[in-house]
Amino acid sequence: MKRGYLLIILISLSTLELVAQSIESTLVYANEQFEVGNYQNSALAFERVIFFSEGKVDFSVYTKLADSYRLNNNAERAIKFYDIAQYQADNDSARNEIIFRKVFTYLQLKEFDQGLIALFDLKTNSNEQTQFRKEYLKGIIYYLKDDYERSIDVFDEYLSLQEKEALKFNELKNQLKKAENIKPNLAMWLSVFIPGSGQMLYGDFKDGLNSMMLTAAFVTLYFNYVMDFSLVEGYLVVLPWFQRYHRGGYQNAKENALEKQELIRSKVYQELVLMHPEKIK
Amino acid sequence: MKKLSLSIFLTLYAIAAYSQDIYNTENSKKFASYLYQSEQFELAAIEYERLLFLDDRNDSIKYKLLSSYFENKDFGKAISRSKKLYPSVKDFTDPVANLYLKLLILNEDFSDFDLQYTAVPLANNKKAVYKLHKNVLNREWQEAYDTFNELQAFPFQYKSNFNELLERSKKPDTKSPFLAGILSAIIPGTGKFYTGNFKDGIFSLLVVGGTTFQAIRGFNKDGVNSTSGWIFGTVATGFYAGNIFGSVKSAQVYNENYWLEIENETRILINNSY
Amino acid sequence: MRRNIILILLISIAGVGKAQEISEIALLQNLDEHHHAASKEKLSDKYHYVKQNTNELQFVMSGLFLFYKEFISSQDSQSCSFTPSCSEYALQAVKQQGIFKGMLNGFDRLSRCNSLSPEKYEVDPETRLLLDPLKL
Repeated sequence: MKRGYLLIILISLSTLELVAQSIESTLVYANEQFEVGNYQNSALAFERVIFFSEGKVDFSVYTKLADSYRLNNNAERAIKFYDIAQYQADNDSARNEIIFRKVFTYLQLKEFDQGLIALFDLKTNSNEQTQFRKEYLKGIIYYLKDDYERSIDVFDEYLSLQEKEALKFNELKNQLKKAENIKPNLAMWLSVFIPGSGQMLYGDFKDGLNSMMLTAAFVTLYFNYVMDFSLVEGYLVVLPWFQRYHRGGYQNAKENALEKQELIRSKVYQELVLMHPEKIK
Repeated sequence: MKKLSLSIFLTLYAIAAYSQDIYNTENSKKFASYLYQSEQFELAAIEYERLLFLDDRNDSIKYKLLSSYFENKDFGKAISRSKKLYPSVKDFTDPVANLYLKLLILNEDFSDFDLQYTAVPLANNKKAVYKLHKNVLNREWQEAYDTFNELQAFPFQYKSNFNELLERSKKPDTKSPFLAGILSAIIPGTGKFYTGNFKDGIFSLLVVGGTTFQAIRGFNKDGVNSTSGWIFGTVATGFYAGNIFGSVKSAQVYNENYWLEIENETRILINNSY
Repeated sequence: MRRNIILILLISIAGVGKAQEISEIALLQNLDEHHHAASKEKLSDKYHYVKQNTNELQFVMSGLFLFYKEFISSQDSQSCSFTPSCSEYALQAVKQQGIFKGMLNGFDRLSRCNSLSPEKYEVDPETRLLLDPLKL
């Protein structure tokens, strides 16, 4: 009797195997296309697997479908399927991995806040590596949001786990302080009173000299007009032009300072990115 | 007990028999239509291409494929694909014929439209509506009036709107570039008033007036050798002549914009009706 | 039932694999455009047509243009309301339409550059300036 049951089950399973075979082979094909980088093909094949399984597939299929969309530059749809995969994942480590990918997709979309929120779904209690990666990304995202103070705090904590990089990080902190110490408004006000001086304050001598000479030329022209014609004439004809270029000068002073600041911050960012967990472990 | 196990076996077997190859035509059609419904037109097109490979005589699949390209705004591809799917334009089915004429219009293949118009197998009235669209879009006004007359008794979408557009083209509100130039030559800026650019006109008048005044003052003070007189004089002449040139140009721009506005309204009507 | 069996089958072959893709680091590095200081392009590269002169007059005009851009325009607070700017427009006009028509066109453009009628032009989405390329 027992053997009879076994036989029946075996036979029925083998027929079912036939049923599922085409779905299975589609999945194999999808995986293969994914591996070779044909993400549109793999997206279509994974969609087919999910459609014909009526959605009852392993979460990893959803993950790969999402990956396919992400790598084929369809971030919105990728996020949709990462969400499903995250919901269905049956263990923390797989769920965490999915969340990380979703965060990267949000970053690609420049939706930094969404990325930050997604990071909080991570379950890091048991895994130091995940914790490490989370802190790193948190620091990066704060930096991208121009919240340098918070970013530094997070990185401080992050690197306290790893003393090796602390020295380098201190140097970066100094750089950031240097950026902080550049005062665009100071440069502007200097140039308001002495045209060109604000540009020179942060090392832009060519531009400063340019501004100085141009405004000086207008002042000379003004006095020329006042002497040749009248005070009113000089006021009406030359002064507007002087004003225009004087203002251009101090605006430049401010902008140049801002640019200098951004340049430092940009360099620091590139260094921070290199403190990726993989690099410093 | 045996009955039970047999029934289990039979149920399972039935399920197995029910679900067939997911690549067969029936299942693929369901999948393709799901992709189309969820607006994944690019993927839907791939799937319909595969379906056509399985069954290359199925007209409804052909239409779905072309629609996927159409919805994906891949007009050129849709047109070339239509030509390949049928031996000749005459063999188009009704929906494909409709789609094909839309495609030619949206892709602005007007010469192809003219060449193939008669061969497209559609009722004359229906075809004429597309012809009207093309006439208006391509600014063939005389033909457009004729086509509209053909359609006198036939109701179609936005008929009254098209009627209004045609009326507007009969009495165009355009400006004469020559008159604009003459006006600005007499009083700077007035040519621009005439073309509706009041603020530009006033600005030109002030600039020409101001620089001329400065030039005259310079010459009055220092005679023919006045530097500021010559400088302002040159600038004033430049602005005066530039304003005449600009007035002629602004009349031309005005006229072009008049027709462009009609064209844009046509585009909106066409896009809404396709 | 059928679903469950399929589920079992699928679990057996799928796994969260690493995709073949650019590294995380490269991805993050590219996100920095926000901080990218506007790179100072050489004027003669930005306005490449200054190098294409067919006669001496065009050469002189191009030189004047570069001088103006480098030393005067760079100091001006009130920038032109159009794209391309009036000086670029005038240089292009002189090159394409000859000195006479080109100058007239340039003077007309200058008197239209008054920011009084923004409603007459389309806005360039990139620069937020009024679009007015050289046409007629």
